[in-house]
Amino acid sequence: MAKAQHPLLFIGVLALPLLAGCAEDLAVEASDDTGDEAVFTEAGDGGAFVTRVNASDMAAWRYFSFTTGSEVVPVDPATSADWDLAFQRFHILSNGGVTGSSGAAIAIVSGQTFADVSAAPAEGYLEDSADGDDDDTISESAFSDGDGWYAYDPATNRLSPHPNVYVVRTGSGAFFKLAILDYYDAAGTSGYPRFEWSAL
Amino acid sequence: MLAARGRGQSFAAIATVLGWWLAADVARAEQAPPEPAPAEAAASEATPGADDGDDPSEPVHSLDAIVVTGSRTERPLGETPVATEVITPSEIRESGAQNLGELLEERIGVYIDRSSVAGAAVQLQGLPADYTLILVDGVRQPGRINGAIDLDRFSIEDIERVEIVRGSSSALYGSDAIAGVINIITKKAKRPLEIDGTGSLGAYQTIDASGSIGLNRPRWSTRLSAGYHSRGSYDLDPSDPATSQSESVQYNFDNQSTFSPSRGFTLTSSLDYRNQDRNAVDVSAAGGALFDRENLTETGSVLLKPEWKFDGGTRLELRGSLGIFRDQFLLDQRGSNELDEVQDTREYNAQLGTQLDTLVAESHLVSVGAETWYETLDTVRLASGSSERSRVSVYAQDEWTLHEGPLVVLLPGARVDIDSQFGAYPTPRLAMRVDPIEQLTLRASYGWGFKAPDFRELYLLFENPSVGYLVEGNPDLEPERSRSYNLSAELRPHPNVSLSVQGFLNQLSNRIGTILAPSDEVGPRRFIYQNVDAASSMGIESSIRVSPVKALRLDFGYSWTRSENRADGQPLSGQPLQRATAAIAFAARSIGFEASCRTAVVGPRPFYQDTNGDDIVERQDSDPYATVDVRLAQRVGYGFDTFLVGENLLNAGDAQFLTIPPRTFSGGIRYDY
Repeated sequence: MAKAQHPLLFIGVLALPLLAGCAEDLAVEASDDTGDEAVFTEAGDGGAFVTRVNASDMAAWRYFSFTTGSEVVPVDPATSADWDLAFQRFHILSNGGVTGSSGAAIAIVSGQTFADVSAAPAEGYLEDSADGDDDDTISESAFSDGDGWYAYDPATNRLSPHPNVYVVRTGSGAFFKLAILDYYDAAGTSGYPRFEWSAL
Repeated sequence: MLAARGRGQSFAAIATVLGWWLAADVARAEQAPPEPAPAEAAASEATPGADDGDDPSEPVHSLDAIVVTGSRTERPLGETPVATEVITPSEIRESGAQNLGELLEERIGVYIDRSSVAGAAVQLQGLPADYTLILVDGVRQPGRINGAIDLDRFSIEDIERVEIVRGSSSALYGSDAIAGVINIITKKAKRPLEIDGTGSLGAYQTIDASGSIGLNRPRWSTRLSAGYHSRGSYDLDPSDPATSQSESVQYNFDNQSTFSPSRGFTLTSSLDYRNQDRNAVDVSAAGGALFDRENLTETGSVLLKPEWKFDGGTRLELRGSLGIFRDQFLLDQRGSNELDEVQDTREYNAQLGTQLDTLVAESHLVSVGAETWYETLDTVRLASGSSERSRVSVYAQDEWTLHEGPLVVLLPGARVDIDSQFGAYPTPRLAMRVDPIEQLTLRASYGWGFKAPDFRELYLLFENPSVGYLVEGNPDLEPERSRSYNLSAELRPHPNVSLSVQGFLNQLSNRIGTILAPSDEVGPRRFIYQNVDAASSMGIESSIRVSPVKALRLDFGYSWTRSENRADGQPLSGQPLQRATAAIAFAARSIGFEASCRTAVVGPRPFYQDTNGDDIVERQDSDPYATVDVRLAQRVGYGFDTFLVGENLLNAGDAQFLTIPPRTFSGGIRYDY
């Protein structure tokens, strides 16, 4: 009697490890792809435009042109004059100084709202400069000057834009004012800077 | 809301039916023969045990109950040199708990933390969950998430009893046994044929159903059980779409068998499988992204344990076990695929061990043992994708009875672990027991302990792409170390009264934590694991048990525990300084009625967070709170019992610091053959 139970017991024992890991593999639903364009521009208030850039890639840069209000894909960004601003995560560079050959520079206007700024400042323009003493290897621009364009909340990891207005002098000598509105897209994903801009 | 009202109605119906049974039984009780006078009953059957409970159906003098955890040999509770707390079958039934997490909630000296995604994490002696070793029938359990094993995964239907040993037991068990050891002893078939089944329903989609069948023959026994347990999610902060706790559906199978073909030889086998699926909604504090989160966790294990008992008290045991833990983690972002994530973590471990216990020169019970441990982990979170390690250990202890009356026992022991990562680590312990009079037991112990760095701490490479921070493992970590001092006294001044008080001091060094790699820029950061911290915990735990009449048992406990980080003198996060518990259990055997009520009052707990962005954390204390649970049970005949359980009657809980289930009622029926 006991001997008859014996093999059954052991078959049961040996079969058990096969059970663990037998649950189905979890997979995400592919259905809710946003289909967002890399750079999307729409009309804002008072003749301004609002542009959202998908800069979520950890390495690649997105290039933006004020002239077309859209993405530019330069063959050689260092020598191309087709783009004005470049975005990667929370880093923003301009086509001037150590970054590009176009000669762009940016002035920071604080204490005024976007609507208040009606003329380009006469001076205070910063060109991109070599990487400073920080833990990234990315060049510095007016957007990283001082406190930078955003405030970081360590409790929530949220980036919130400072209420600065930036005036960009492009390589062709045109002036554009710009204020950063947000760093997150509609689904809450980071790496999507959204900014309001218009020509001066 | 409609659904909740529906459940309320079914609860009302159950209450009405139960009330009717109660009334009928009270009427019957009036005609029942009088119970023996309290004093007589106490003298003959009441149990004055230090930590045990009386079980009217199994009148066992609690000090005779066998425990295994303290000295890793089977010892009567009244003789063990290491203080062991036992949660008995009757206490388990009275608690109304459906899993180990709920069972331990209102015990003194045990704090269950439900704030993390890991589920129910246990804290002993004021230290976090990673300093407590969790065993099932003496076998180390895999599957720590953020350092904690989820105690909710151990369903109550398979638990015969729980043994808790406080203070360092690394000298017997090795890594992690710093604050203590919790050993779950599973049920085995004891009667020729046993069948039981339990079903209960409650608010928040609480469904518990389990059943088992057991056979016990002269040469073999087997018990097969299965359970299904579901819990709905709940939300303590309706201002955002996030849930406070996952909904959970678990099913489990368990088999325990023994085979004794000849006298003195027993082969024990155990196998189990659990599948737990948890679903929740998370909201990202940074960008407000919404996620549907799912954790699908499976654990499986097989244990084979041949054991030989020879004349003269010598015992030889072999143990071989395989354990599998698989955790699938899924984050599905609503409205986008960008932050979707699937992680499949598989942990395998194999353990082989042997132990020989023998009586030398009449007064020395000597145990020597050896163990090997092999573990692999596959996860995308490790820099290399997978990793493995092994450990070989030897241990020995001598339970030396110096004197019989008064009893004086000395217990020196030591263990050496040789790990493939950090090398050899020794952990000695010296414990002593003195019973100056029969009613008083004094115990003292001093032991070293250690906790091996886990895979995550050694080899993690975790990038958070949404924020841009990085956490890196450090393969050069050393084990965390502890030095533990424990003193305890148990007084049994009267057969109906027992008191115990226990003091402890744990000094931890080489604690592993993350430090911020040097940076001068606000924004994304790089964290690396280091042996950075020292900490200590000290405290006093006391309890009183009084049984004024046979049918009534009262328990009171109070603990004062101070744990602090040595560097800044601040208390460790989430550890309450003071806690008090009380329990009352009433059992009228003649009418088959039981009622019990348990409560725990928990003082403020400190938490730390950098709330203002100055890179320095600020301390915030949570509010004190109290939980109250009640259970009523009534025998209805033919092997059936009905029961009604109310949990968290004061509706304690908040979204920030105390994400425990709100007030819940459930009712059910139990069959026992």
